[in-house]
Amino acid sequence: MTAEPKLLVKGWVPPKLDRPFTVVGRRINRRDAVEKVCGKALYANDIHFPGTLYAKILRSPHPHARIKKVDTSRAESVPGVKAVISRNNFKDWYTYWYKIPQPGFPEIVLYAGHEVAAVAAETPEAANEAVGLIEVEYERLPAVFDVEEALSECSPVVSYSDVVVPEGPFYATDKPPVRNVWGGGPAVLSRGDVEKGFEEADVVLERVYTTPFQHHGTLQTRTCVALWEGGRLTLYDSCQGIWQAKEDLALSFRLKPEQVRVIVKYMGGGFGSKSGAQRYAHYAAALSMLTGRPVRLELTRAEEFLSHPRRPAAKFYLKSGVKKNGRITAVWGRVLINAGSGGAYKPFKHDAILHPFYLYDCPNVHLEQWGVLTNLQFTGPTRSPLNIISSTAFESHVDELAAAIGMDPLKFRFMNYNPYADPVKKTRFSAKNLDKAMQAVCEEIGWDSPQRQHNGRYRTGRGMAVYMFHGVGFHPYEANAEVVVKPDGRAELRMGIVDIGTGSATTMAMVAAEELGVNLEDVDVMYGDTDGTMYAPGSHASRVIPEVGPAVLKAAAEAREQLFAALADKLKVAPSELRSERGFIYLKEDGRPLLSFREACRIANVEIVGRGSRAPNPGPYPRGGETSAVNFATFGATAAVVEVDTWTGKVRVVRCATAHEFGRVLNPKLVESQHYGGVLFGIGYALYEGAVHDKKTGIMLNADLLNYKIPTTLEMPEEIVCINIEAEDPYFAYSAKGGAEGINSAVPAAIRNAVYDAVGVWVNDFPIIPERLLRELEKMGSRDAV
Amino acid sequence: MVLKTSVEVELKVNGSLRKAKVNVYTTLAELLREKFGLTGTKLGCNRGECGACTVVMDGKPVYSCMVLAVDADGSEVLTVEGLSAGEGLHPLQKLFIEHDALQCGYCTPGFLMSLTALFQSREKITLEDIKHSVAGVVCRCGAHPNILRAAAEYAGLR
Amino acid sequence: MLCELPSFAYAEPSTVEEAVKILDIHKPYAKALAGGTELLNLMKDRVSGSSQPLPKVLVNVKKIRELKEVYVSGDGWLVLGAAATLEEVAANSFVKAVYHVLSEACSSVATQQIRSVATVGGNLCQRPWCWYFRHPYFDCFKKGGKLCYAVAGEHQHHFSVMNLGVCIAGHPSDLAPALLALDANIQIASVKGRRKIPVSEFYLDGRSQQDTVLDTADLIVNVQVPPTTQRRGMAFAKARLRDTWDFAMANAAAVLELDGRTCVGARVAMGGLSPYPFRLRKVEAALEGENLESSLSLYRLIKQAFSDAKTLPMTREKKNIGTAVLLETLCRAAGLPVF
Repeated sequence: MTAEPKLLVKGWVPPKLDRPFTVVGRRINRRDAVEKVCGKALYANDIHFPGTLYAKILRSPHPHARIKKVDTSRAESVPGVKAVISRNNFKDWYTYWYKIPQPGFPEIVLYAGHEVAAVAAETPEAANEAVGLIEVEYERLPAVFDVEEALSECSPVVSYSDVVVPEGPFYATDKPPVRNVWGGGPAVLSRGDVEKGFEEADVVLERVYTTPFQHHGTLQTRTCVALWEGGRLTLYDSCQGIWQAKEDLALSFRLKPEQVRVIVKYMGGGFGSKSGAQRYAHYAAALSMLTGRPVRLELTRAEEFLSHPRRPAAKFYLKSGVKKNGRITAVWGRVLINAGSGGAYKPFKHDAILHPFYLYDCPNVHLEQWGVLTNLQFTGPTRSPLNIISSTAFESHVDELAAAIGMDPLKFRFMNYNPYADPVKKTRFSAKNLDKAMQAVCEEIGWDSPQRQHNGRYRTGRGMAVYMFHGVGFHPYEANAEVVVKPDGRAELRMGIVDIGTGSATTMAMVAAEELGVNLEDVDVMYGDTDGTMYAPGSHASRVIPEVGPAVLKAAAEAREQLFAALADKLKVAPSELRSERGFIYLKEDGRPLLSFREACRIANVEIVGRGSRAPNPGPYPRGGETSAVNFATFGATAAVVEVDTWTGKVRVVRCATAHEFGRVLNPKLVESQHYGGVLFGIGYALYEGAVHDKKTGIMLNADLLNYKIPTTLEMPEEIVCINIEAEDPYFAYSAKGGAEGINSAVPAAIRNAVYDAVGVWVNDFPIIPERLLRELEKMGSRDAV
Repeated sequence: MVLKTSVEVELKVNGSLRKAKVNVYTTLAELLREKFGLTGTKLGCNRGECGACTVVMDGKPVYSCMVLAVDADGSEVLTVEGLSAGEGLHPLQKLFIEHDALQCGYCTPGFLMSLTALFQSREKITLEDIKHSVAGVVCRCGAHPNILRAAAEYAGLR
Repeated sequence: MLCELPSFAYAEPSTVEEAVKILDIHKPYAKALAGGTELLNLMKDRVSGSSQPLPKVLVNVKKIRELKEVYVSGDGWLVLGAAATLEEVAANSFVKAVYHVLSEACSSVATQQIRSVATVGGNLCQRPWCWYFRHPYFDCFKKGGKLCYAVAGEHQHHFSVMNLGVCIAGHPSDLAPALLALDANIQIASVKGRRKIPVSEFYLDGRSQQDTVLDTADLIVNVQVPPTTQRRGMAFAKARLRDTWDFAMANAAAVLELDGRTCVGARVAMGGLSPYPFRLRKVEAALEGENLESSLSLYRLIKQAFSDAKTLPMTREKKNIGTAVLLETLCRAAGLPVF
């Protein structure tokens, strides 16, 4: 039995706002837009310090090799070179990323691009020259790149080097791999009896779906300037989490937390790839410590592709049984996740199989997720990490099941809709309105009266898909905020977050302004610096609004209460009789303002500091398959209309409708931008993007922005309709949850299902490049003329 | 003929005459960012494959990472810093803010300068013109629909 | 990503004669620098091999007036300086009015920003856009090595289906098919003097390490397009993955001499499907004398165009893409609706 739901903050819980919103819900311009459009925003590679050294990294050209010798003598004698680091002088050094300990310069390199050494020099030319002169003796080892090959008996074993930390931090591996199997075995979610379920089915379908390695493609590459000065390390970085980077660096260099400062005021895109202190930041910091000079390290675009943890590729085997009446009787699945040679896999070890387990009311389910190690670059969180894999494969599968019994795919989903969290134990989510999301997107694109074109060269069709996502906060639930109100009436919100482009500096300020009862213009925001702020989560995993939101709300409420207490005396009223709104203080039952907020601050004449801290969710985002009385997740759906050119195999997304369950939208203008970003990522995943590796050497062949094809303006649909599903969820600040990244999850399957509607072929391998589609069309013999 | 390894260049940047001595392998992007301190122009790939470094050179949009500084000698270059003359914002900048035509902001100068080149090139602009003008800049955050809205409004198309 | 270019020496000649002298003195390490959109990238990526030395001397040819000029000669030939930019040619009102296959081809290249600086000569001389060629790890045939790595490796999108040699990269130029279809000539200069060759003799096939007949110390001066007649229909089409930036999976140019609805002469050229741009002589022969009544009749004429293509596992479907592009080009050149 759960207690009455209340805002997830530690200590005193502010009462619910008892008036309509005056700030929240308005379309407000993001506050850092002016600097960005004027070119005045300083990103890490725009910041100059006198005496800066330039760093460059040497990377292994081989996918799997033991380093026998590193000779840096020729490099060291290049004029202008100030330091060279490698296994020679940094042997037992571990860099921490997401607090995962990884050898800074491993003895065995695990992928083509793995770091071997780094140089700092007076000029970039000297650094480049020196890197070219470092002589490394490699003993090449057999390497493996394909998941099924890696699982086979005779496969080479990837010398996984991330440190195994039993009972360790959230992201660190807790079990060693066994023969390329992460953690020694699969994650399994099971209920009922699948064999019995198959016997009960009228139709059984077996399919395989494959999804690509997707790269974040942040427009700014990994860049930082590290300054070691007076026993303190300051890092001007491009990361998504300043406090996480601070922790990581302190661990790597055995520093006290106060000795590390991380600053990120502007950064050029994250999408999950830049949380915590990444490898490059550690090398820059080490070089700065050795030389006592600022060190600037800027990765090239090719290095971006080669070295940053990307979304794993997957191969999803699914076998499902369905009755003619539309009920799914059994789902069996095995997904092989190509996790590369290391990285952040642990938190996601169930994430590719949650979707079929929780979203569909099928009594007999057996799902396995295998993390498989290969000699390819690390994998890690990428905008909707494994949710997109799950949705892409299973939503594609669902449409095939519906077609097998001749049922409309939307009707089929409603028929098997699970309104609970666990359908057997009937536990619930704090809010779940996926049915509304499905209905809304389908209505928007005219599901029941589609403008289809099934003949001729160009054919149109429509499709839909759903997803489940977090965006509700998670471990360690440590988010803090401060609201300072000064005697001059201005308020300052202080939070240790990075605004990565989502506009969180603006939306959090809106929460503070609303709760304080002032206008947004009266709130300053201090963010992006670990000095002067308290621990806050990284701006990833769509967690800022659900985690920092409550902390900000409480901090503002506390500040307001302190102001009222100080005023009460002077005005001879009880604090509980006061309320604030739009920059004025009122008596609760009275419409006339008593005085302005500014005047109240002047009278109170104290500096007020309100603080708020997030409390843990009382129940889980059911990652591990367990649910409790109340569980937390967000949900959404996408519907798409596509046009297929049957001669060239090109697919164009004409229109798209996306719906996400935000709880409450703090700023509709900024949220729409997030929808668009999700559509872009989803279209890329569905039609254009994917790392291409040479099968013999594992070398990434398209480590550039010409051959790794990010969709441009011309590939975006003519119209994207953004639907925000709002529903009370008292745990969160004004019910506001995150989930911007969730929106990408269902876009690929919606497109692929629309392609089927248009031309009658199922494509099960992503991306749906023209050659692939033409091949399927040819098999069907359904092409016109050409 | 004498071969050189460094050259003196002189060019107009945002209306002001600027001079520098550069290595022949220095790109215009490096000249603007590192020598002239105009860091508004961004580098995303250094290969002409992302468009973030777009500036207007002699009226044409170019990738400044692909133009050698020596080839910019004697030219007129407009960067994002030169868009707002004096105190106020350029109307296109204002529309970008109003329509939220940016998120992380890294590609924004590239889009603004591509559009500036277009709007400077002729009077009557269609939506097709706008789309093709911005087709050479990548945005990973998804600001495209809003960029088109801002540009369309500027062109008086709404 | 600072200073990714290697250092080099730089020359700025003002005449063709000066330029070829420097190219000759420093061969094979001297290269002409026109737009630089390919050359500088090859240098930044250190693409090199025994037959592809890393350039040490760049000869800036953009100050040579002869190479920049675009004009119509006294006897009606259109002359395009090798260093004229694609944007200049595409926007040229005479080219648009009279040789619009050329302006269409120029406008389809990459992006506006690249067309602002990329040149006619540079577009014709592009090296293979193959990811093995452009990666330092693979010593491929076109750089002086022995093998083509794409054949047994990844060969989707930009690889050829016809006329396979050792190299199977598809030719990336959009201008070349248009100039082939226009029977253009190329004027080349060297220390030995000047010569003129038709575009149809400019390219070598996939068995050759060099892409063209140019010696490393040669310099393209200009491209010359013969005078045209009024009765011509012409068109260019290109199929690519994204609608911007990307090279063609297949492209085609057609110039048809029309007498009413009857085709009395045809020039049809394609790129992307072969390591060098090629004329489809069988298709040309089939078109000549035909009454071009409908798109369907055109389709029947061309549908066997790639029947003897030797495709590879990942290039098979490019035959379809090639047929689609060819049909679209011919329909538009003939003034017929494209289905």
